Amino acid sequence: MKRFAICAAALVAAVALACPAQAKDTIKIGVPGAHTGGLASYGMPTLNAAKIVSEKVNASGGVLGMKIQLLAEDDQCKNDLASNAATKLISEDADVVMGHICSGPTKVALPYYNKEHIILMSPTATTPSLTAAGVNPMFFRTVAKDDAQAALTSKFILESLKSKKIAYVHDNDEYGKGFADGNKDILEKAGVETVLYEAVTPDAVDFSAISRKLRHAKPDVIVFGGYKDLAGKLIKQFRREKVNCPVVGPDGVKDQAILELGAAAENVYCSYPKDTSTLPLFKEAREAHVKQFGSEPGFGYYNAYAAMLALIHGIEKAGSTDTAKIIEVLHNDPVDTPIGSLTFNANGDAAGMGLSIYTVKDGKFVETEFNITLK
Amino acid sequence: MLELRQVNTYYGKIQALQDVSIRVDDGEIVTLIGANGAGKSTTLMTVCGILHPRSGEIVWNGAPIHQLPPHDIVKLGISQVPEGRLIFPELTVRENLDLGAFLRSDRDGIASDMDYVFELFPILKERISQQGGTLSGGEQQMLAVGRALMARPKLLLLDEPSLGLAPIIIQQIFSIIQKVNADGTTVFLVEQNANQALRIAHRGYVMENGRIAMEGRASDLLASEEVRKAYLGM
Amino acid sequence: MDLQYFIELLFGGLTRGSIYALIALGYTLVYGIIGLINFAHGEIYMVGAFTALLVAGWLGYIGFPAGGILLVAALAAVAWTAAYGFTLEKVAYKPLRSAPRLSPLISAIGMSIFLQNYVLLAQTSDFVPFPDLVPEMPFLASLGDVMGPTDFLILVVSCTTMLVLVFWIRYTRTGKAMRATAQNRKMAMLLGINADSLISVTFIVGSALAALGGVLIASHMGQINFNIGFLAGMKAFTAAVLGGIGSVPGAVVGGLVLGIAESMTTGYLSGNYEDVLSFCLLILILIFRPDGILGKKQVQKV
Repeated sequence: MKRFAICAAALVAAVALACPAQAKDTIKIGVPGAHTGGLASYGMPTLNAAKIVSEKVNASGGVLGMKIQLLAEDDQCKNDLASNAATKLISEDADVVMGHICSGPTKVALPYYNKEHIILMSPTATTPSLTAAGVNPMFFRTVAKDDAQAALTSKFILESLKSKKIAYVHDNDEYGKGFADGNKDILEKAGVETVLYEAVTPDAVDFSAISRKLRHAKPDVIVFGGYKDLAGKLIKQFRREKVNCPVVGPDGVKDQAILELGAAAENVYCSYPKDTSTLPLFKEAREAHVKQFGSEPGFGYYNAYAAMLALIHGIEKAGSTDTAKIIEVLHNDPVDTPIGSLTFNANGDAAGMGLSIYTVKDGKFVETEFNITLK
Repeated sequence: MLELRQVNTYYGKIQALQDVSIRVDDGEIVTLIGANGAGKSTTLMTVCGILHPRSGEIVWNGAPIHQLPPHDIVKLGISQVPEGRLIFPELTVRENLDLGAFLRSDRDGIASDMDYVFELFPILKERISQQGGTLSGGEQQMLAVGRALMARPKLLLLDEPSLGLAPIIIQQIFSIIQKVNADGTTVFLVEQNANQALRIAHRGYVMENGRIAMEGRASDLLASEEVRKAYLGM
Repeated sequence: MDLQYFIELLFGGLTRGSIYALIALGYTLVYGIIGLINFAHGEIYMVGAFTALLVAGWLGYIGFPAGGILLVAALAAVAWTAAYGFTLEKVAYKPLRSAPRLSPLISAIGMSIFLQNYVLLAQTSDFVPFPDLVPEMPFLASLGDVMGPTDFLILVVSCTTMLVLVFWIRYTRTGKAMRATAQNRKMAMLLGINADSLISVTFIVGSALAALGGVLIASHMGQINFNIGFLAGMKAFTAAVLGGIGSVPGAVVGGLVLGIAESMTTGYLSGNYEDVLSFCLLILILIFRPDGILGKKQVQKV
């Protein structure tokens, strides 16, 4: 018995000595999002931005003297994978998280981060409920929420297109339906008639029924809520069925896919962040991407770049990774980013960003004069 | 002529045939009788290539056939009328018969063989456009035999042709088997109805639990005490 | 809403119904002959679409005359995809022919996942635009705009193909052998029918039809991606069951009925209910006619 006790004690001591001392030497930033799957083109630019910013900052000494370590997790914009990603990031001791990409997964993952008091800042999740008053004090975003987009597009429809009859077509998903509903609430209050409000299945084999229904309903404008692949398919079939009225969509519509429709893309409008390409930080961010990846930045890159800068700025000014202190900085201290000088309002939305209406002209997206600045 | 030499067939781990040796000479009617589950159908299925023996040989006109796939064995002139008739219920009588001649391409030969079948079974001609599933049991049996004959086989295998049929029909079928044999087709007949089978056969084998228990001339078997007690209910 | 609208919806329904029918035929033929639901069939359709895309792209690049690109691409897709189907059967199903029923089913699901991810990795996760290869058809305007050029193409091609298939199954030697093998494989073998090669033929034909559907849909939609097989496959499978699984005319009827039902639902009720109603229709039919619309009551083998 005595011999056994000595052995056991020796074993415990050995194990204890083998465990390394826990001392903080890196700032861990989680980057969850769609890195594979059908919506990877929405998520990869964010990852690129995170890499570029962290490399730049690490090269000049890091944050509070510590290097930034990125923890990338793939959620394919799917809710079930999002909760897995969140759990993994928490177990790896992420200090702050920049993501997720799609609204649904962000919503699903948020409670996990809230529980651990970890700040979540999304560059692209736009569903309004994420920043409803007082609900998620640790959530921020560097992108306009859908009803901000809806505020812009409905204003555009009323003042510029002067439409009287509207049709809404959406994909029944958080992002698309949110956009359609946002527009509908404002426009119906303004007295515009809703001639059709329906969902379609994005992967359906054929859209002739809804197209023909629209042709007979004769709306002045169609409000589309959804992502670019559905937009492409629908608009193509609309035009083929001689439904030529303007189509207004959210920022997901501003994509090469629509341009490839050729003539069918005429009369397509979408909301998108105001062009800030003359800002020095924007130019710097763009050049860095072209240099490292050999191509123009994709969807959400500048928003993600801005989010990284805001988070790093927050940690620097707070002097630690203490969540409450970082939030204090985010609310009050403006940070320069490629998309403007930003602070965050009490709900977590970025103030200081502009949103414009874009349209297709001569095979390219051009910014129109119609825009608003968010508070 | 057909020879089975020490054939052993298994279903997985269960041995169904044990050292079975049978010979069928050209022009004969040979019958294999035995109780239910003795292994008679297994024997026929092994000959036809649906099952393959684990050991032993099956030789047809000098060449081994026990490794061949079923369609190649049919090509060599062996046709089976399986247990339960297995006619195609959704095809017509004519389509069933046509399929019997599947491997043949001589239109005239096929036509004359179909006439031969209608001669043997006039009722089939009456029902030529009816779906197989609508025929009575006896008619289906006739169709099954007719279909096998459409291949103009050299050896006709029959598995329990009398099963589930009325005595008068059984008589008809058996006399037709004799006629077919007289016209030149060798017959290997598997039966539970030992009486009828031994009456038309030249030679017979008795199978018990997968083994050949007795063999000899049909008339001898018919007269033997053992056979009478065990299989003829006397 | 008037007659014109009804006819437009009807033709829209026939368009999508024809696609469902082409794919459903593959399910029904395979089920008929080996009693397996080929869950990878939707992916075969997807592979057909991608093959056509790749061939069309290459032909355009080398300057092939525009009018013929679609035809050549379609033929190439059909041939290549038929080879896929043949290989699929040999690799994933034949070895499991005497295994319990569940095994080939799981193998099918596995192949479905494999094919989706293979295309995803070999091509791209993003959707890919399909070039506009269907010529303008001004004569359609005189028909009152009930269909566009791609609708017309789909209807004509599907109709012709299905007629040829039905004729082939009913009257040719191979067709009869296939029907026999589907009704009773053991008996068919005893007649000298090579069941193995017929099963291969079934997979080849089924895959060719699905590939054709894939090419037609790619032209119609203007884009394809690696997971179009899933929903189309599910709808087509529903159509096959609706019409009576195992029955060739059943697959056609099921496909058309489903397509028209969906189109009418969107046209007269709402797009929100399109999918729900299709499945409700399936459930209703199965309650009142468990074998499907044209399914045969299981004929008793005597």
